[in-house]
Amino acid sequence: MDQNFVLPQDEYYFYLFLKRLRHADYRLAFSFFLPSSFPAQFSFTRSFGASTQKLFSSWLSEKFLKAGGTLSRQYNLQGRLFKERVWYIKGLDLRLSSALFETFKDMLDRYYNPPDEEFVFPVRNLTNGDRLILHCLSRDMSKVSRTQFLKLFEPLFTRIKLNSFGFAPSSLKMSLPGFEELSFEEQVFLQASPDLIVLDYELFCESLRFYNLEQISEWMEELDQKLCSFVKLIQENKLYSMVPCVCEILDLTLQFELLHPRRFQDSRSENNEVFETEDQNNCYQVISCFEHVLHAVDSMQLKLRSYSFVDEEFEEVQPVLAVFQSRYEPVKVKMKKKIEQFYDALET
Amino acid sequence: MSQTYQVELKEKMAQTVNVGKEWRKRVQLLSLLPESQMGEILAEELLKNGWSKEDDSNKLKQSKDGFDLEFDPVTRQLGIRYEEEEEVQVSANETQRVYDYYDREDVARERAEEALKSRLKGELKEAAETKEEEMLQDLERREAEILKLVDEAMSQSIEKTHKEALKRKAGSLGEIESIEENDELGEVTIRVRL
Repeated sequence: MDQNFVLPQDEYYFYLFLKRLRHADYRLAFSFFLPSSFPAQFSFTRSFGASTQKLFSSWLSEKFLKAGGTLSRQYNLQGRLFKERVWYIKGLDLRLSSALFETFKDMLDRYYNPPDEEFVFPVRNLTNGDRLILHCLSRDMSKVSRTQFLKLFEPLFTRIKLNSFGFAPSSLKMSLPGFEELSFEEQVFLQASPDLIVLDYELFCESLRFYNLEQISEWMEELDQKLCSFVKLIQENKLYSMVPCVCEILDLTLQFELLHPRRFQDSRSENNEVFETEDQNNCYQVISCFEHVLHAVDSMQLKLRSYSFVDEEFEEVQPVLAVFQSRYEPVKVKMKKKIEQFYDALET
Repeated sequence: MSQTYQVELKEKMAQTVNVGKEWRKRVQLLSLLPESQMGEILAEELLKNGWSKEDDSNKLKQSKDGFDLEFDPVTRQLGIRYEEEEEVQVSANETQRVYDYYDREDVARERAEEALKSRLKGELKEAAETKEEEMLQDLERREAEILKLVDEAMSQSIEKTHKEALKRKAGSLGEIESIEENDELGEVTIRVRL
């Protein structure tokens, strides 16, 4: 904490709680800060407001820069290109509100409630800054503990629209909102942090092997819809800076051997040479998911190729087409081959 | 004072047992045109055959004779869900001797009816489980036969898809002069002026 800030004792402990959250020490944070320790009234001192603002600003800035956010990128917002507005995020005019602190209190209440008991998170009037903080918090939580904490706070996190871009099982269920439904800050953050989406997909791929085979079909159906909507969103809103992100997702699919038939076969099967009907159905679902994604990306590529030099978009799409050529085409060829091999394994 | 009553009891219970199974397979089409176009042509043929399209999806569906079929033109995968249902019944028509300590016939009858219902519920559950097991075994046995029915239903549309694809392919090569179709032999002769 900054030496200039002197906080009353209860605020100091709350500040420690926030710092632990920021450092992803969730168990420590929640175990040592009780709902009863929460400041009774939301009349925080000016020092507390300033130190919290500083804490989260630097956190968000760090996330933004680590996730590929650079100041030289162009962002397409409401059909206009913004370059200089990236400073808005860099400067981080977060406008945090007490609703965020109240939400932390809700989270503490939830944590100390029996996990099986239903808990309704109150609806809080969150600002853009509050929502971004909760978004980053939920993303970090999904890295540390994909099941326990996420499940506990799932009803809260699924209210944050930006979280629907995640690939944790709870986010997978959420359908993508229209781009215009996101606030300006959220739109910038999304475009500035494509690596977060890729990282989340990587986590999804990693965790897939531990999950129950019975759920794969459902997850793959949800993943199918999510990825296709994501590609559609990029195309409709001209978010071309996110095309490499799609290529990386496809690349990860290959790296994690998601298109390998034996990956989805129940190891308890008596005869490993023959697929049980259920395993076979799962495999078809997996192929179907990635065939749909390839189809959606192909359609986008076709659309971009159709622009001629008389079209306004022609200049804008040339670098994107170059990305398609250098990054998408090779991965597409590999995926098509894998898909055919997958079908062959199922049909012979 | 207590008394024993003779009570006539009649009860009938029924339950519907559903069993189903799902299969997925890829529809094999000749590569006369690019894969996605072949899928689209088959989708067009299926639409003519009474299949329907969902609003926000490319997939086509048809429900008929216990079958729920779903065709995806992009992947050319066919989802097959087959369901059967049967009703199991249990009944009782008997006379019971019931004892009531407070000498009330209505209470005695009520108690006897409740006991009978509870017994029948148990019997019905058991009967339903047995039936379900039998039906599942039967379904497993008839799997090949069920899938053959689907293949037969699809074969006509697949044949038409191949013909249509041939015509489009020929059209792309040059000007079509004549088309002769022999449905019995499944032959199509297309003359094209290049």
